[in-house]
Amino acid sequence: MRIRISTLGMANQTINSMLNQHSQIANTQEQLALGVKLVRPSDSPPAAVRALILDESLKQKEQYQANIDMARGRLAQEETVLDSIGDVLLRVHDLGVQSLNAPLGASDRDAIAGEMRHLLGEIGNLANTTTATGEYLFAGLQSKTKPYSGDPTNGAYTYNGDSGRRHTAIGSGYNLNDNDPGDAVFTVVAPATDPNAAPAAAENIMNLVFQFAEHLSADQPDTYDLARIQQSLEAISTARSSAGARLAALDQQETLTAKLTTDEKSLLSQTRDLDYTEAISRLNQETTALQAAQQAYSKVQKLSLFNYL
Amino acid sequence: MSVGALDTAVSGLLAFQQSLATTSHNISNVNTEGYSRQRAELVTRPAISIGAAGYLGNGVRVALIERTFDDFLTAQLNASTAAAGQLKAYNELISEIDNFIADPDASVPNAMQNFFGSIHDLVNDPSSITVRQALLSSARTLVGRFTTISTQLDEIRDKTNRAMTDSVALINALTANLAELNQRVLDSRQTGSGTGSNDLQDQRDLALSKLAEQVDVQLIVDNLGNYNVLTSTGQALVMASVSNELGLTAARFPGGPLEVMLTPFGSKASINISNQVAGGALGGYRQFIDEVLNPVQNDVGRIAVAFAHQINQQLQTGFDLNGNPGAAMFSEPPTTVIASANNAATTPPIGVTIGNHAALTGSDYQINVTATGTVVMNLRTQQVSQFGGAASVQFSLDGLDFDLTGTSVGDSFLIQPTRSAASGLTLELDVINGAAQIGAAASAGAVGDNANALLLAGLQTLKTSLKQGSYEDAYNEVVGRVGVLTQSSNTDSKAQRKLLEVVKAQRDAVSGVNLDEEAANLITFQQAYQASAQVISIVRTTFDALIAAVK
Repeated sequence: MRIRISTLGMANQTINSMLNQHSQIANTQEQLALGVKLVRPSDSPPAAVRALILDESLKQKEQYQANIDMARGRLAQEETVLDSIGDVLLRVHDLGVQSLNAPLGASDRDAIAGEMRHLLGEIGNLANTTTATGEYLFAGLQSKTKPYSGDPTNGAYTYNGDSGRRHTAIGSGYNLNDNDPGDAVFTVVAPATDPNAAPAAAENIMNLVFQFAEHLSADQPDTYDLARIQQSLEAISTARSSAGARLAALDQQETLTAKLTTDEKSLLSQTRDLDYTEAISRLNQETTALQAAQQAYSKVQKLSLFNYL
Repeated sequence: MSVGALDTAVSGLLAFQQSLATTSHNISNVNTEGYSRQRAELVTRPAISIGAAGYLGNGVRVALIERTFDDFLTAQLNASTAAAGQLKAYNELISEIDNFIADPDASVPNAMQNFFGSIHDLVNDPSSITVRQALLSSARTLVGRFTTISTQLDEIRDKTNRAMTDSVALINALTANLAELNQRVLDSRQTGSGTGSNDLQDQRDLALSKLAEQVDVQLIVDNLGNYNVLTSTGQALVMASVSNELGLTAARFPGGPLEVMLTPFGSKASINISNQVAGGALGGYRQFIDEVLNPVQNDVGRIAVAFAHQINQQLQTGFDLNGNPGAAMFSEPPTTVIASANNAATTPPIGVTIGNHAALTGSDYQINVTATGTVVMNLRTQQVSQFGGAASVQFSLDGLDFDLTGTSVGDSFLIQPTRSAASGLTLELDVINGAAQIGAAASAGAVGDNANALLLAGLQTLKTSLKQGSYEDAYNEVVGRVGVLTQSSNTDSKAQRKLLEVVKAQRDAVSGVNLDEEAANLITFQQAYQASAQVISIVRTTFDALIAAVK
């Protein structure tokens, strides 16, 4: 307990206390204006760093989600194109069965060959499909090079792409292949029992269809041709299910990403966002305290012995 | 008898007049900073012997106008003032960094995330020129963020240096003032009474307290009553009526840190007392520079240069759209080497290059070439490493490769490996025309190849890029450090302010003026004065009665 207090000291003390109240109110006001309780790292350094890490992690998940969408676009397109090729090949297969089984003449077979060539044109176009971003779907890494040259009249379909595969990151340390090069999708290795095939020769589906049509035009139907179309169908079906499996993986990863994102968002909100109820009641307390200090000041200031002299 | 009574009454009048004047002086100075209240100390005048009856009282006189002052409290106040001054200077500056270091719109992490987002876009569409241009555009934004942070830190450094210059100028003015006041107090003591002028002593104490605000000092009062003022480590600033001038210069390492020099009175040579300056605003500025500003700027620079180097390196292992090896995207700012102005004339520039970016520490180093080897001091940890004999000129330390060929014994160098790296970072590829040169492919001539871009994207989360992990980990570490230092500085300065208030209140309790007390004193002295006047009047009436009787 101090015995004497100086007049200036007393005034300074009250002024200091009001200044402190003002600065607290300013802090609370700033928090309310921004809607966050972490305005500066010093407000809570561990929470500030946690918020930065969560921010970064959420940004990455957003990026993974964008990558998932891109990969899904490519793989879904591939699936659709392979579906169409499968349909066309099925038609080729039907025509083949028809040409082998029925008692047909040379002109009939030539007509079937004509239709087959028409279908071959479709397959060729589908194999040269481009994506929304102008890249060839089945060219491997040579995505600006048309993967298959050749035409239904002359055959000689050659692959101009490469065997490269692309990956995209769909999760932390999770890279997913989002393309299939043409030489992997459209190449069929003839079985060793095929007398017309060179040992273990690999040939693309387009050339096999062309070869079938050529045999029919020459009225020399070959049962092995049909077997090769059957094999082609299986190859397309395998490629399609591989793309489908990856689409399913994307869906799974998307669900996981969404769940993690929700968790992290709620954690970030807890870490950084302001509890308005608490902040407003704090503001009320602080303004009450300031008012009290102001009233005390004005009352004490009026007291002076000089008033009675 | 009546003459004695009159004389006694007059002595009362005089004494109470002086008491009233002192009270009036107190009231006038109620708001004067550093004023100590004064009071007139009254004593009885020597009594007159009246023989066997003893001594007859002879009135009152003012023995002393006393200054109410407590040496101990004043010393305590000065110590608290120095500590508060240091914390205030430090707190104001670190708060500025705290304000922007984690601001999402101004700091590095957001731009870094956008940059890597653009890399992922490149992964998804490696042959697109537009995607590549967008990547270079976000690279430009990121470079801009590094530059902005560095510019802001440079501005804070300029501001701190200016504040240090002002502080040193103020210290010089105050020490000169103290030396002069020493002389004037001494003079007043010799001309007046033994105690000297109260007001001059108040002024001297105030000057000392203002000095303590700037730098921590110790006071030694000599037997003549002179204030001899020393820095807390014992460097004399004021000796009796002489003061020693302080200076601030970067003469030793031009362009390097400002050092505090002391020039003793009458001397031309000055001595470096940088490490002996503590406390006060000047101590706070130095602490801020050493503890916060240099490490933060070095660390941001370290992240910039490691990022630039590692991205460049990865890009250069890849191939661009034309099948050529990928181009470097960023400049890799060189280290800053400052040779001492005192080095031998024959000493050539030395080589300091970054050999291993992941091993960089963010410290500055001072190299001293001695007869027994090269001494390298880490200026952040004060750790000293010594390399070989005099012949050892090439060595590596903390990711840096040193080449000291051609140096002589006695040479010294200041190395700031990454101080200016963030400001020196530039985008090397043109945003529009350089797009094709980004090495996204792992194999030459495959325009759709994204394998190298995927590796680039992986650098975002690679935990071995820097000592603290990834780029963002390292940046977060800086943010966390600034946050912790600011928070504790907020707490400390609040506590110190409180303590200072308490000590001030204690000092005021002794020395401060209380108007109610003075008002009461006024009444007391007024009444006493009136009573003395009344005595004179009664003595007169008594005389009148006597004279009338004699008539």
